[in-house]
Amino acid sequence: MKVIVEAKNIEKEYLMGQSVVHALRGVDVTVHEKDFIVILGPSGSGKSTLLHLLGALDHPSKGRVFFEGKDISLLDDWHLAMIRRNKIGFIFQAFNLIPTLTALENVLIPTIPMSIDKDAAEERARKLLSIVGLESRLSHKPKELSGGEMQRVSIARALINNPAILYCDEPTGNLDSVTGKQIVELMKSLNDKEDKTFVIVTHDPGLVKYANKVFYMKDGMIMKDHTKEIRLLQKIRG
Amino acid sequence: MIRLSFLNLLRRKSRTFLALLGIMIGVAALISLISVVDGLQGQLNDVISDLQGVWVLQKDAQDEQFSRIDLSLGNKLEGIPGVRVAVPEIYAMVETIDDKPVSLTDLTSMPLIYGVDLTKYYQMRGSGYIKNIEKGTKLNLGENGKVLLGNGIAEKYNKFVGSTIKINGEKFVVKGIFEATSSFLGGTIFMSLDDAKKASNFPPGKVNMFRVDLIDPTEDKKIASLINFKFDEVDAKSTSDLSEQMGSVLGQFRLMAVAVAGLAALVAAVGIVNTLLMSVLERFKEIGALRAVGWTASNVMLMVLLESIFIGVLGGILGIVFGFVCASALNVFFGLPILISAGLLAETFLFAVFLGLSAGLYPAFKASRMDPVQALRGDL
Repeated sequence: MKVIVEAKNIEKEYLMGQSVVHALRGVDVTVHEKDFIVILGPSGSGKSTLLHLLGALDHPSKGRVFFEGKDISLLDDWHLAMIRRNKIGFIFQAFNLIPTLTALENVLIPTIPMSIDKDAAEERARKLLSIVGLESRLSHKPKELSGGEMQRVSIARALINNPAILYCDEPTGNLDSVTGKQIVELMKSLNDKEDKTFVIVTHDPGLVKYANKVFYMKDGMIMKDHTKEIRLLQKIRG
Repeated sequence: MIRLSFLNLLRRKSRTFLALLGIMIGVAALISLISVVDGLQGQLNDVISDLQGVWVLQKDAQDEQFSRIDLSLGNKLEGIPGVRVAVPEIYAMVETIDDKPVSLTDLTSMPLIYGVDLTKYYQMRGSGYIKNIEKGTKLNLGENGKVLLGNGIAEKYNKFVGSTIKINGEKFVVKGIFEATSSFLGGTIFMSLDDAKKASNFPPGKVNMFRVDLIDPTEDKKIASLINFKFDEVDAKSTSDLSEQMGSVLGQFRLMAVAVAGLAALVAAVGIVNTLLMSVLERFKEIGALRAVGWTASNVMLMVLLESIFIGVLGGILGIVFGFVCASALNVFFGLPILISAGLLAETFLFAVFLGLSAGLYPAFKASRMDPVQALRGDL
């Protein structure tokens, strides 16, 4: 299976006031095409920092990140933005939609700086909103949508550039359990039917059952790769 | 992106409105002040271009009304080579009209007696202060007891052709009503020199000044010097010099107007910087998300700059409308002449856009420098 992103022994340190925080202390991760990876861990374990480094939002203090085989660890701000624009989708806990824009316009946000055919982009946005079940809510603004619907819009937004990988930071954190389950099942169906690759960081152990790889993080390190246990469990369940 | 930037401004309507108000007031101040200066300059040019030649007044007289000069000087002036005709003129204050004291509050109908030797006056090129006779006819030679009224005073005192008017106790018949070369001269009462003397108790054998018409008007400076050289008791001024003097005074006034409006604009710019900075800081998570979905720092910068340009454009348009209203009010209520040229409108509009753009630079820079990771974490 093709490797999309690979982190090799990455560390991340940053200053908080006078003290140095070691957010990541030597992490190795490899994400393959069609993976559905869940990273669990308590607050402050370094999950989000790892997501930001894998997602070309930040540079590691040490180690290397390779995206589709290319070292992106030292790329400048503009080149990282281009990778995010063309290859990556992000889904956030707080949705981060623009309140003044409609659902359709929010999905089109990543395409605004792109020089692409606007009609084709809009057609694709409509199709994506239909895939996430919001074909009747195109012209609704975020405040007119429920939490689950807002997260569906943000999933459609993350898919608009047909990304190689989607990173999700606590995607169910702001949702009730029923809605949260629906959102994860939507992501899983995109993984199954559309071959989309997902990396999800979460507090919620309920997501583990959907994953093909599970990591547990603590104190800036991956403590355990639970993938084998998960595979076994899935085999037993049939 | 244009739509997004515009909608961003509508999120905090009152704050955006205050920023717009700042620019609007700056632009309106600029338009109304400069339109008045340009209006004055325009009228001055009209008056001066109609009165080319040399003005001869008593030496050291403050202005023509305080000047006293011998009527007999006229023949001597006409003896100077290059002089076509020297028109004796009387300017006198009006104390009563129809036995009632006059009010001096309205600039466009402030009454002033303007008496000339009609024979000489009609030989002069140009028409004095009379632009055109709207009603009635001009005064005939030797015709006394009749006057032409400026349209401002005619309207104020409800006079028509054929009406009688008592000026400083003397009774006259209105023979015509004219439009003056400047709205300030709408209160002029045109009459013969003899009538002017009677209505103003002017000392016999004296007039206020001579207006000297030249064969070649471009020689006005040269002939003014010659008159000053020949006659010690007079002060001759060429209309070129007068025009230059007045032009320089108005030029200084224009600079002052620009400085005042510039100060207002600076305050407006600070308002825009504040508005946009607040708005950017409030939206840091959103900006983080934009960066995460592939917007570059310069895309974010452009979005904020577009917001500031919108404030400039809208403030400019509103300022032009408000400036138009203010300038018209100055014209209607205070009788000040105004001239709003397309050039002035274009300049002030571009100024407003430039102001908006430059006020947006710092907030835009600040937004573009936001670290997306920090922005998403909410650490800003």
